[in-house]
Amino acid sequence: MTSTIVRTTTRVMLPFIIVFGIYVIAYGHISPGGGFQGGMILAGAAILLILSYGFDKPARFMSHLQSLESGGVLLFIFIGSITLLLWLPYLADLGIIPILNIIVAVKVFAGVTLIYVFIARWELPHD
Amino acid sequence: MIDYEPVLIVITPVIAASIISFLLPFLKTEKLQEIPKYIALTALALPLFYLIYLAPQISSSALEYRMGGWTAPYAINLVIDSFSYIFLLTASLITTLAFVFSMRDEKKSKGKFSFFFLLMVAGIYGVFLSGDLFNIYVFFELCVITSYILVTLGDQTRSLKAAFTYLILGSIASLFFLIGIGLLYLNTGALNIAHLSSLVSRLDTTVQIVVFIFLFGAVAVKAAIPPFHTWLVDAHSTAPSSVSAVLSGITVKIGLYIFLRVFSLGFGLQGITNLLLVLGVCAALGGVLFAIFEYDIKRLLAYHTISQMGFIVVGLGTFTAIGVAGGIYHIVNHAVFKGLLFLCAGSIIYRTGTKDIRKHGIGTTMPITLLTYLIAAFAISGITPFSGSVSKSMIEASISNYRLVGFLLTVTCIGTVTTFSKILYYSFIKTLKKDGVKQRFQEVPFGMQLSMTILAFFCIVLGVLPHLWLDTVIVPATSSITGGYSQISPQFFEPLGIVKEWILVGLGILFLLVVIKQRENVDKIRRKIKELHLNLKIVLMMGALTVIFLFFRVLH
Amino acid sequence: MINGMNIGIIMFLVGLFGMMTNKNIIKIIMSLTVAENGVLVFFISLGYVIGGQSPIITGDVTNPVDPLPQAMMITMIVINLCLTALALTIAAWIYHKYHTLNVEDIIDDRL
Repeated sequence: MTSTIVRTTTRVMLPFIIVFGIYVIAYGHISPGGGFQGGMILAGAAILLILSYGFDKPARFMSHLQSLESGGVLLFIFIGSITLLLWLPYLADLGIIPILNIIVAVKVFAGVTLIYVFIARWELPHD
Repeated sequence: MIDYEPVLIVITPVIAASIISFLLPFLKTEKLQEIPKYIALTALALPLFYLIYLAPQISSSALEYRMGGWTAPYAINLVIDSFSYIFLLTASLITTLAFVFSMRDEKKSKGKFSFFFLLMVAGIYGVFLSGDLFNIYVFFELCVITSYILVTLGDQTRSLKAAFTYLILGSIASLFFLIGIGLLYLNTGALNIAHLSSLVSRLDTTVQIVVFIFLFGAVAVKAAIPPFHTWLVDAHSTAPSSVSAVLSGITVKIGLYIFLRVFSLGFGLQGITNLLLVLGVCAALGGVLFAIFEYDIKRLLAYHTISQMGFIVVGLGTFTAIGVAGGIYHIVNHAVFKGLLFLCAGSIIYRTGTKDIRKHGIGTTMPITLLTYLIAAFAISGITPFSGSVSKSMIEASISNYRLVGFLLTVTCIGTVTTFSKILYYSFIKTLKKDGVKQRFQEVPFGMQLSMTILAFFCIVLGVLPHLWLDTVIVPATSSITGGYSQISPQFFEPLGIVKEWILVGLGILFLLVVIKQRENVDKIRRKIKELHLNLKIVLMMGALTVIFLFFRVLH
Repeated sequence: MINGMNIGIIMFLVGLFGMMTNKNIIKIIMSLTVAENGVLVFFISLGYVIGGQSPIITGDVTNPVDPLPQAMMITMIVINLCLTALALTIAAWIYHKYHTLNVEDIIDDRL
């Protein structure tokens, strides 16, 4: 899967996919899309990168991905609880939805890439 | 001031789980890897104490919390009312004690077990707390997906295939549930349970039949009612012991909880009682029959779960006040004593290293395990001062019109006594001699002993003081289902009942002697029971659903 | 006759049939995905109003389709993702351990 054609195509396509993903996240509260969908698109870009360039370089980032994912959950709950401090019900409409979108997108990106990395690791020759 | 109580119960395990997963890359040494277990223990004990503190408030009114501050009936709300309170209390007790049990048994899983266990508990609390049909589905999926993962963490030789079968069949159940919700929404336009209960009875009969079939299919797979039960034995027997206790005790009951919530919506169909009685009797007899042939201790207990669920379905199926009260009481009892039995089995396996009861031969060298096992066995057989007799007498009082059902349930009681005396005989009375020397086994560590003792204590308390529990928790629960506070006056501790029980015990021990004498034939029959493949299991489920659908069409 | 709900139910039944007859684990998981997507299509077309517009509040929207099933389905897509990821992980683990992907060939040692 790491031939020259695949690598060149990836190099050309990757910026467009990433920009489109960020667009979907940023406009999530007005038009269709949002945190989850944008995060999946970004994860698609990351998986494409891993598929076409091999596995050695991304292996360093795995523990960072795990911290990113669980930190994302804590951050989501924390920011959602800010409304609790103002004695309003949880997740009331205060205009924080775009921030929640970005947190969710980070978490989904980390999570889905981790899933791919963990499943793909079994296929590799052990070293 | 908004009352936050339901949210706190659900969110404590979730926050603890995310803290654990955040700390996971930082725990390098062995000593630090003990930290997730203590975090999880705190997060499991806090809702338990909180629920006990909330007890006086529940009996007066329901606690409701609306997400986002929207008004009913558009809001997604979390409700603690008297019906869900009893389930929440049982769930928190069993999960805390099962986790205490597993703290020593974890084989180097580095906090992953605690993480998934906490998420499963959050899912269980969420199912019991939600007042909205789709919210039940979301939390139900959380609970069930984490239980698939926990099943794979057990006994590695067989757990993968069992987890895969469980996954596929559970997903089919979830899809059926979702289609049922969709049809309900299409025809009534509401998803809130309190709001739906006034709208369902006005629907067309055909629509009611179809919705009932889909929802019943989902509920039956999760509650392991035959012929939908095929996933249960493999999944519960290959999971780790504490997870088996929680799965058999609580996760199986979630199906019945959803059943009661949905059928209190007021489906006006005629054949439901007959259908449930037939299926309940099939479950009870079939479970005990297969349990007699087994020699693996956890498979035996798992087949037995199917049998007891049959009892509960018979009790709930009559839809009378005493039947539903007996069913709910039996749900609580079964969670307690089946959890205790799985923990006993877990401690036996921990010390002897094998699941085959013919190779155990403990004798009296593990006294606490023996004592708690005896208490659980007496409770499950329905001997009088223990908890099983209360609920069984209530269920048998509710089916007094149906003689055949009563007779078959009595036969099931005999079979129950046989299977538990079988474990008693093989594991505890026969001592194993290795090279002529009697084996001595040590008792299990203190944490395991503590959980088993507390559960045995509850077995006794639930049986000796039935009126205390009935008046405070069970009767309010029943009145919110059958609507109307009818006078339930069961008679406990009557001498005729006690004589009948001991006659059943005697017959059971006689049958056990037959089984022991014919042990080679029993072994041959066991080997001949072939396992169905995954495809055939699904075909069986769909065939059964079609038959039930035709049954209802004929009746209307 | 051909509206979204019927197509959704047909897709669900096709997926169910696929789960009943396939022997390969990956094909069973793919049939599960088809069935889930069938339920998705069924739900989304529950809320369809004939001649309605998309329910996004910008500009003039006089006749929106029902947004509630769509919101439910976004949640369901996430749950299905978790389920499919878990199923594929278990399938990869089974292949690693038993070296076969046929459901009938996975022989466990029974007691």
